[in-house]
Order: sequence, then C-alpha cells, then structure tokens
Amino acid sequence: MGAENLAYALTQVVHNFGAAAVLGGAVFALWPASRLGDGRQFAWLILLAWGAQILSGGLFGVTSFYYYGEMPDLSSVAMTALVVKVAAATAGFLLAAVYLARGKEWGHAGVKRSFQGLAALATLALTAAAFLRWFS
Amino acid sequence: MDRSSLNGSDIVRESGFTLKRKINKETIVNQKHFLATLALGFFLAVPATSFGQGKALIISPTDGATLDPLDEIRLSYEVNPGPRGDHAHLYIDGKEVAILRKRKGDYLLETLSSGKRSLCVKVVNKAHVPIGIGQCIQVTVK
Repeated sequence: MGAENLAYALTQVVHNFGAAAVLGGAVFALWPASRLGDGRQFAWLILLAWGAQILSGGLFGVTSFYYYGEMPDLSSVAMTALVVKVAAATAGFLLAAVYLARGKEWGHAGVKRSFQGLAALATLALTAAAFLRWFS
Repeated sequence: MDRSSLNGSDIVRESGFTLKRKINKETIVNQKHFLATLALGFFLAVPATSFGQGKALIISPTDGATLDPLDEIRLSYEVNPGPRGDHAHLYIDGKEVAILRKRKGDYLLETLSSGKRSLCVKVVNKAHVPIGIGQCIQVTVK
C-alpha cells in the first residue's frame, strides 16, 4: 500500500505543479504588468508544464492499471470532464509549441491573444479537473 | 583537492593539511546496491495481490429478490473500505450510477426498468479504481 500511495502521490506532485505552471505562467505573462517581451520563456515553461500534465495524467492510469489491472471507473459527468481536460491540455500544448515555432512573426496583439488563450485553456482544464475529481 | 587511492582507502588532502578519511569503497558500493534493490523492491512489491481487509455488503434488496417498480426501491449497504479503499461506487447493470461516500446507508434506486438487473457495490480507491472488494446481486423488476 505504501508503494502504491507513493506512486500516486509523486504523480500528483508533478500534476499539481504542472497545473500551477500552466495557469500561473500564462496569467503572469499578462498580469499585473505585461511581460510579453519575455513571452518565449513563459511559453517554454507552459509547454513543459502541459507536457508534465499530459504525462502525469497518463501515469495515473498506468499506476491504476499496474496495481489493479483496470482503469478508474468514471461516471458520465466525470468522463466528460476528462475529455474536456485532455482536449484543453492538448490544445494548450500545441498552442505553446506553435507560438515557440512561429511567434516571432506575430504582432503584439497576436502574442497577447495567444497567452490569453493559454490562460483560458488552463482555466478550463483546472475547472474540469474539479468535476473529474468529485463526480467520479 | 588531491586524492590518492591506497588499497580501497582514500586519503583526502584539503587546504594544506591532510584529512585521513578511510572510505571503504566496497562498503559504499554494497550500500548503493542495497538501497537500489530496496527502492526497486518497494515500487514493484505486491502489485495486485493481498488486497487486505475491507468489505462491501448489500443488505437489501436480497440476491434474487423480485421488486415491484411501483414501490420505492432502496438499496441498503454497508462498506468498510479497508486500508486500500476510499469510498464505494454503485453500479446498475455495470453502469456507475452513484458514489457512496457514507460507510453505511441507503440509496434510492430510480427508474429501474423491468427485467433482470444486476446491482453492485464496489469499493474504489482515491483514484476511483475498483480494488477488488465488492458485492453484486441479481434482482428481478416486475
């Protein structure tokens, strides 16, 4: 039981810090003062954080499967929340990657919209996470 | 820092004076192997066996009971999640319909259509994974 709880807890640590970074990174780039001049650094942080979110999310499933041979049982509400969360994470990862690849060609307004989009996706993912947690 | 090796021991010279620190390399290597083995064993040990204590009981309706859909049908249960479990899920015909957070209580079963129905209460962990403790019954709804 100790190893199982430790595996879940360590995965949760990565997941929690990833969640903090995807939202905090995007918001802090925009507010209270604009730091979009350092947008690439923020985008790297957000890209890595989304990657950590996706990997640790998958690791929850792997841990469950390893210990019990099955995946979590989710209600329809929780399953919907999971789909929303995965979609937000994928979109956030891709948006950060596209910004890093092509962002230099974008104007200030485009960069600002990108970070607003990243903040919105992070908010959506964190909101879905709450429903996933408590409707399962 | 100047290091010289003398038959498995190190003499470390620092800042103009010599610290004779005897380090048995073999012991360190053995300790590292021991810790690595211990850590690996910790992670791999007891994956799906010995789920330990815990129970889930469906007190009513009883297995094989015939139920009248016009009556209020309540499922009465008692759950002890044990060391690995956290709460329980209720399933009708394999579909999760409720989360049972109380250890003992009852749940109003709504809209049970006629025919044979399977009712299950399963203990799950914090990640909502069934941990192998549960009870299922069959009832017939008129």
